[in-house]
Amino acid sequence: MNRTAATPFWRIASAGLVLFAVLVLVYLVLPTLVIVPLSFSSDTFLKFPPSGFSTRWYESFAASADYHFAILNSLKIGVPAALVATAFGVMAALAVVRGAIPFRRTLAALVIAPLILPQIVLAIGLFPLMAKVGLVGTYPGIVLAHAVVTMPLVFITVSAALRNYAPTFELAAMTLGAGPWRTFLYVTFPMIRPGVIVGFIFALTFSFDELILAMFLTSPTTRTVPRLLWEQLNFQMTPVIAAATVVLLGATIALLCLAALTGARARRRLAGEAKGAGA
Amino acid sequence: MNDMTASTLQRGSLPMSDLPATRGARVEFDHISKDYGDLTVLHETTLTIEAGEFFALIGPSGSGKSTLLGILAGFVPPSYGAVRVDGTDIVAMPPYRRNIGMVFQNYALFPHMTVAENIGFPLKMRGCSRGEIGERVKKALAMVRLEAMGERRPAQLSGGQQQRVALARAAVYDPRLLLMDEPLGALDKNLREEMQEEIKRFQRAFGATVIYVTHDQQEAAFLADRLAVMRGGMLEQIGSPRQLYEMPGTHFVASFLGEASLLPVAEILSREGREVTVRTPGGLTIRALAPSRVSERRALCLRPENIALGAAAQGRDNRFLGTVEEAVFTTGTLRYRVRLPGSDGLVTVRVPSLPGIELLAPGSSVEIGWDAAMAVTIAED
Repeated sequence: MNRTAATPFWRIASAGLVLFAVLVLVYLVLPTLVIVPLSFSSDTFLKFPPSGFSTRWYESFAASADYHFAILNSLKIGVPAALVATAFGVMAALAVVRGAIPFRRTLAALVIAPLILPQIVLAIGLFPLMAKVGLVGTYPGIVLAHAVVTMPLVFITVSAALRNYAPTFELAAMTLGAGPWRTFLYVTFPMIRPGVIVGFIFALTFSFDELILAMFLTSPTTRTVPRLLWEQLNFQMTPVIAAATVVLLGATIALLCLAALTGARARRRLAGEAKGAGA
Repeated sequence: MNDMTASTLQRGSLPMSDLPATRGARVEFDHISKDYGDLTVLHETTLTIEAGEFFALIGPSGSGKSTLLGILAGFVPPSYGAVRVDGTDIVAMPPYRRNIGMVFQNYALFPHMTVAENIGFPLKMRGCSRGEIGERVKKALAMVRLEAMGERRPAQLSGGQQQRVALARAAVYDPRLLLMDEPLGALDKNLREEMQEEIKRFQRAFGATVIYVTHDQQEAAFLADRLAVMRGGMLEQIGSPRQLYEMPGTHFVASFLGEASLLPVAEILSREGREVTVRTPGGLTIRALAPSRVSERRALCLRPENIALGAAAQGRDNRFLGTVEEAVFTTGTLRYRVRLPGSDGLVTVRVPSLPGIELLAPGSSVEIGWDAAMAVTIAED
C-alpha cells in the first residue's frame, strides 16, 4: 500500500517472507498428500513409493462392512455432537461477548480450555466419570465428550461474529418493541449466522477426525472411522487404510471449503454493510 | 368559480397552527443519577421536558448527555431517581415496552432486511396484520420521500437516505416520544443542513416530543425549542437557544455556544437594577448587564457582532481606543481581533463585509464600543 515502504530492503524481506510461508506449507501439507499415491498402490501392504497403480483398495474400502458401520457411527456421533456444541457455544459466546457478567476474560479462557488442553488429559478425566454413570461405549457418552471438545470452536467463531458489529442493532430492535427472544431471533441470529454455520462445520470436522476420546469412550459397536483406522494400522498394514484416509481427508477438505465459502460470503456482506453504515 | 378559488386558497395556505394539537409525551427526570463504582457519569439531575417540545441536549463527549438519553431509552439503569413519561415511572420497564422511538447515530438499520422490512419491523413486533404493515410502511416511505426504495437493502442507500429510513422506522408506530442520538453525526456538512430542515419539518408534522442529543451547537440552536448544555455529568444551563446565546450563565456556556470574548472582572463598582459598573484587572471601567447573583459573576461575555467599530461606536455606553491585531475577511463578515487599552487582552469583533468597506490594517488604532446591554456578566470557572 505505502509506496515509500517499497524500498529494495522491504522488497527482499517480503519475498523472503513469502518463500518461508511456501516452505512451511510444503513441509506441513506434502507429507499428508503422500497417502494419495499410497492409496492407489497395487501392493498388498503400505510401501512408499508404490510399485504399481490400482484402484483395488478403494474397491475393498467400498465393500467393507466395517467401514460402512464406522462411517455411519461417525455421522451418528458427529452430527449430534456438533449440534450440542453449537447450541451451547452460541449461548456461551452471547454471555461472554454481550452479557454484563463479571470475570468475562476468565470465563472465555475456561470455555476455550477443552480445545487447548491435551485431549488425553480430558480423556483420562472423562473416562472414570463416564464409567461411573455407565456412559462408556454408548452414543451419548462419546457425543457429550465430542460436544465438550468442539464447543470452543463454535464459541470462537460466534464470538468473532458478535464482535464484528456494534450492539446498537440489538438496542434498536429493543426500542422498536422486540423482547430478548425476538431480538435474538430476528436480529442477532441473522447477523451471526455465518459464524454459527462455520462453527458447526468446524465442530463436525473435528469430531470426524478425533481419535483419542474415541479410543477411550467408544466400543466396537460405536467406534468411529479414526478409531477403526487406528485399529487396522495395528494389525494389518494394507493400503485400504490409505484409501479410507483419502476419503476422510476429502470429506474434511470439502467441509472446510464450505466453511471458508460461508466465511467469505459473510465478509462480502459485512463489507457492503460497513460502506452503507458510512460511519 | 368563487367557491373553487376559496377552497384552493384555503388548502394552499394552511397555516402551521392549524395542525393537530401536540400528541407528544411529557418527560420528567426526577433526581436521576448514574455512577459506575466510583465514577459518576451523571450527577443528580432534575429536568422536565414539556409535551411536544423539541429539546436538545448538547455538550462535549463525556458530558453525560448520552447517559441521560440511555436512561430514558432503557439501556442504562439509573443508580438513583425516577424517570416519568406522562406521569408514569418507567425506570423498571424494559426498553421494548416503553414505546419510545429512537434514531441512532449510525442509524442501526438491520442490514439483512430490506428498507420496507426495517420500517415494518416495529409493526410486526406489535402484532399488526400483514396488510396493515404494508399500508403503514408505504405511508411512512412516502413521508420520507423514499417510495421507490422499499425493496432495497440499507447498504444500497446513501447516508441521507439511510437517515430518513431510520426516522421512518422510529416513527412508523406513532411513538409519543422520539429520541435522536447524534442522528446527523455521520453526514457531511451540506447534507446535514438539508436533513436539519427535514427533521424540523418532520417533528412539526409528527407532533411528538423530541429529545435530540448533539455536540453541534449550531444544529441544536437551529432545531430546538429549548436546549440544555451539559458538562461533566451535570446540567450547566437550560433555556431557549436565544436565551443561552444572549444570557449565558457561565464561561463554559458562553464559549460553547457561538463565539465570545471574555473579559475578567476585578471589582463591581456600582449596581443599578440589572445594570452594573465593573472594573477589569486591566483598569477599564465597563457598564454591563447583570441578570442575577451579581457576586458570583466574575467575567463579562461579549459577542463579536455586538461590538461596534469606528464611527458606529459613537454614543455607545462603553467606548475604548483599541489596536487592530488581526484582520480577516471571511464569507460575509470582516473579523477583527482588537487589543483593548490596558492589559485586558483581545476582543473579537465581527462586522458585515458590505461592499466598499475597507478591511482595517493590523496595527491601526480603532474605536470600539458597545452598550451596557450587550455585555453580560457570567460566572467564571
